[in-house]
Amino acid sequence: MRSDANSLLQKLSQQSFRYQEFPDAFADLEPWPLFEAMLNDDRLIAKKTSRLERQEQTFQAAKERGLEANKPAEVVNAPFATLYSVNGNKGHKKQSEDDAASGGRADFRSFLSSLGSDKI
Amino acid sequence: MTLILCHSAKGGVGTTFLAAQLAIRFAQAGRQVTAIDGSGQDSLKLHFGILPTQFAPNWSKSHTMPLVMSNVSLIDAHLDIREEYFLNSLRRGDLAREKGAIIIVDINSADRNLFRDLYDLADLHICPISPDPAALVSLSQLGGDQRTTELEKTVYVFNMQDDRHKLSRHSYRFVKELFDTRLVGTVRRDQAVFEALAMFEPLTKIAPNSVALSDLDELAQSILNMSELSDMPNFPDSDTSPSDPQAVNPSGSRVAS
Repeated sequence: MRSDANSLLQKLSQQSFRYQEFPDAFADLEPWPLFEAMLNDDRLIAKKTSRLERQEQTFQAAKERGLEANKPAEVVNAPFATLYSVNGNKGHKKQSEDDAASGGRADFRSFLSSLGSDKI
Repeated sequence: MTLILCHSAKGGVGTTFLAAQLAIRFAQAGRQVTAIDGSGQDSLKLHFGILPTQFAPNWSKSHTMPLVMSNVSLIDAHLDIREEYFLNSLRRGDLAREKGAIIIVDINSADRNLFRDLYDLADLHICPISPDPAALVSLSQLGGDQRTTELEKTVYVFNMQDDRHKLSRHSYRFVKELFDTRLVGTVRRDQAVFEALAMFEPLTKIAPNSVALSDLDELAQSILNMSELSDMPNFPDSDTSPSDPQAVNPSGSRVAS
């Protein structure tokens, strides 16, 4: 529970109010261009590589090791890519379809959530 | 002894305010606290109720003419803080000898060089953030050659939060996700902070019910609870490694023990 909400409930009557945290913390979060600019700033945070770049890296690594590389590389979610065109990851058909279905907002939330779980 | 730097890459985010308020709360928690104004703006004292025409002693006089407000020793060190004798004094722990002592240095946002010079010496760096786009963007410049999110000694405080404004709410969430556990506190915006400053009175007296007060209490406790603060490796406590008894300050007088 947020500290300010906790204080407010203590001042009022906890019996009269029930605290409920919205499960989706990013429900009304807008994709401000400011945030995009910050996330694209390598001085602030390491850029996430796109799925195509990761596939290419995996393929090249496997090729160098002389291993069979016919299995598609594990796709790492880069949900922010389409919404903000991070790393130039435009035009990926599947991703675009997903984004069209979700309006991009789910990707944004997912990206922010993943940011929190990354080791910084 | 623990050395804490308060510095933001952008001015106007409440760095001096947080430095002063944390110093007062650390002192209230029983710590020996020295607050050093290294900003050159001479504004740290205002948060202790000192008038603009009244001056905190500089470092060389602080040992013989200590100024203690709210149980915090105030020193204006902007003329000395780059000098080797001052840095050596910091290293030796001359300014705070009690076990658990804390030194807080307020550094001007424009003074990146001083910040980088002291960062290696410091145990903790507190970087205030405000929901101001310019302040948010400036975060990228904080680390110099290092990515801001990879600064190991740095924690962040979201200051002047105002849930009534959309950008403030969204900025907070963004910053929270960006820095995760390194965002150690939030202080809500309250005009009473400025009103107290204008009256040269403590915030606790002008607005004892200010939301900022409870946030500051929580923030100070959160920082004190950091395990690093109880056992900082950089600076020996006086009971385990006494500082040089022959140390002298620039004026030539013996350093008070």
